Amino acid sequence: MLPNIRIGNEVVGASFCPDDGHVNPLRLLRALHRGFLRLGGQYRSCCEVVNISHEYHRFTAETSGGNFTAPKIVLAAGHGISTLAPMVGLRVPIRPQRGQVLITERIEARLNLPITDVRQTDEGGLQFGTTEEDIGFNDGTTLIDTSRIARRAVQFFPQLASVRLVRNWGCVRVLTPDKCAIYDESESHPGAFVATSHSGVTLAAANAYRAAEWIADGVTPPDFGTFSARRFDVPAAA
Amino acid sequence: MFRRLHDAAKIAIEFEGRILQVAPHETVAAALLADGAEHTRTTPVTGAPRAPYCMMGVCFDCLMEIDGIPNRQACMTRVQDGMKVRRQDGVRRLEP
Ligand SMILES: Cc1cc2nc3c(=O)[nH]c(=O)nc-3n(C[C@H](O)[C@H](O)[C@H](O)COP(=O)(O)OP(=O)(O)OC[C@H]3O[C@@H](n4cnc5c(N)ncnc54)[C@H](O)[C@@H]3O)c2cc1C
Ligand code: FES
Repeated sequence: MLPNIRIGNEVVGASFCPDDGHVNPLRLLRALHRGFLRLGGQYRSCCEVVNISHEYHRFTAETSGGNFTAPKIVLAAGHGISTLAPMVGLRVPIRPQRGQVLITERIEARLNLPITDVRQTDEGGLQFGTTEEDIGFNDGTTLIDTSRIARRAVQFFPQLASVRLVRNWGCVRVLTPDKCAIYDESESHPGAFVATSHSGVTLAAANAYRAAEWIADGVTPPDFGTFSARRFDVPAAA
Repeated sequence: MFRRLHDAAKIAIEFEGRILQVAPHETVAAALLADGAEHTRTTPVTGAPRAPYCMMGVCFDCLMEIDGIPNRQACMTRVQDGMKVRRQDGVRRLEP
């Protein structure tokens, strides 16, 4: 299955899922922006939302770059949601979790499948990692994890030993208690929606099509109720 | 096109088999530009010729094979006496 690379002697087995894939997040982000603009959307940067008010079925987002008013508002602000959600009566339990990733120089295409902890992008760079660390909003890196991640990649594929790292980074995930997405509409402020998940890249198609239709049409698709944050409410003991 | 500001004592490096006299404080990229090198690599996708661009480590247009190690940033590498420098020709191959 991996004809272009030698697998290390320490690898004793592997599992395969035909649905696994790799999406280049930089290209995806650009594609989403272009699609959004082509449909007539306006993108305003440097507009931090500091308050959301609700009057006559209209929401006003007060931002550092002016106020914006609309009949619907979607909170898709990653960890910013924790501050914004209470303003529209939503409860969105999310927590930070750090992941560290290593990036190598670009080399010829050798990995035709994405593998947990070792992927090659279409541009030729390899990405190794990651970690799952519950240490708040610290997005630094540690030498011990960097070397462990690199060692693991070389155990998988010994030929990678001579490939040079060009950077490593840490970043904070947005995690819900069950790690699955939250798609919800406020009960007290109808028209206010939240969409958040880890794996927003994998779920991009669901976000761009299913979730976007749900928000635009206001009709909850049959299987969508499962994603409400109400699933985390513990029923009162009888 | 480029001129050195000061004359300094020179050391020797080898660029594509040719001996160049360069100043010891220079980066490989600066030394080659001062020598009038036209291109220092070709791109992996189209094979277009490229030369150092940002001179500060961010654009990766200066990749070269330096002392046998491919894909090194010539603008981030100081020259050393006897250094052997070659163009990075397309994408880096992995050893068999
Ligand atoms: C190490 C690591 C590995 C990952 N691996 C994968 C993977 O393999 N596959 C996958 O699918 N996903 C992966 N993810 C997760 C993926 O990156 C996220 O799910 C995705 O980026 C979430 O996108 P988002 O737009 O919801 O939120 P974000 O990307 O967090 O964007 C939120 C935006 O809102 C802005 N914002 C916040 N507050 C405000 C405010 N008050 N006003 C205005 N703007 C605001 C922020 O500046 C930010 O630009 C990984 C994440 C990490 C950290
Ligand atoms: S010239 Fe840009 S990285 Fe070297």
